[in-house]
Amino acid sequence: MRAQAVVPTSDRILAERIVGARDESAFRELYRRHTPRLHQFVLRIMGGDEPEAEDVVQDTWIRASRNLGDFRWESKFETWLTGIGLNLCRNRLRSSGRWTDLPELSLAAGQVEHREDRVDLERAISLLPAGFRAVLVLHDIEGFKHTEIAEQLGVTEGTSKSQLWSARRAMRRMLNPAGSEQGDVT
Amino acid sequence: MMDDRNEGDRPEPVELTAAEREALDALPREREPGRLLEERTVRTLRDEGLLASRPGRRVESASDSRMSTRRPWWRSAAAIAAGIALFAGGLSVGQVLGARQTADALQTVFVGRDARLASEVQRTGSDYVAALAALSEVDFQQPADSGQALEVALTALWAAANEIVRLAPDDPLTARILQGFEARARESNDRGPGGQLLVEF
Repeated sequence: MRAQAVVPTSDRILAERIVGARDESAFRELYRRHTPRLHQFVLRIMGGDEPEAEDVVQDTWIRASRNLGDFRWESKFETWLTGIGLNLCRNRLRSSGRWTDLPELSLAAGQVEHREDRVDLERAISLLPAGFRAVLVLHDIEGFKHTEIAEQLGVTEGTSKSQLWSARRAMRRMLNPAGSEQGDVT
Repeated sequence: MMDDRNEGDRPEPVELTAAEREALDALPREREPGRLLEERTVRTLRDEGLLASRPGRRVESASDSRMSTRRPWWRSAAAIAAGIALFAGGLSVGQVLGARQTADALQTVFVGRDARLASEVQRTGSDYVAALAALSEVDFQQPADSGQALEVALTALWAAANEIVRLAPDDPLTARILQGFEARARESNDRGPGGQLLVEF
């Protein structure tokens, strides 16, 4: 007897069941499919604060569920969800004074912590100013293009590029505080 | 404080080096949040009416209540919390006597199907504790064996806590129990693909 392959239900079908029938099992399936990635992303944007990241993840799902019926499926569900999560992170960081709008953010403004000790990559990312961190995580880890980042963060593509360069530079300095050649990453 | 005045002294690449790219690629892309988060989220969505109430919940008849056709979640949670408290209390005064008292008391708290299910929880809970007591009497020859026994015992407790949190997502004691398990799992890095504790039986 040949085993039948189990084809996972598409995001769209699950979403339709949530909107149409308020189906809890469909929500749980969608939640379990996308939450691990969303959680890791939000955790990085929030600088590693786990309880705060969990609050943002919860709020992301609530907001997504409220607006699920309006989602037009012109982008991937995951991308849409990430965008909601990013906005909520920014709101939270901004309200607590931890977010500086990107055009005003610079390496020269004393907004990058100077450290004598070498830190590992994850820690270095968490120590970046939130705006730098967001651009670096979106581009270098999540694989977003500058046009997408610009749209998500409400900046120009040029700002996204220049802030990425600054973010990488700040990250290198934290990874190699003595000024050794870049590329020695742990 | 970082200073950009020497920016031009040492040219930095705009692009990532191969080593940097490799290190970034090696970072984890996924991380399981606590189990509690899913229940908290589902509960909030139910409260907002975005998800239907859980199927299988007892629906009161019109004669039961003119105000509401469904039992409020807090009443179920309170009843179950009372049952758990009675269960714990029953154990503390002695398993046999306690079990009987608890079973009697459960009848006054729950009715019908709810009572049968609550009694089942009480009975199997007593069985679990009795089995643990027997296990604790075993003279394990190898430390690994006692470690395995502990994992088996904890896995059952963890699974139970995962179900209890569905009954009462806001219960702080259950939250602390699950957080303890999650911290332990992270420390030992003993997580499966689904982020769950793995125990080999």
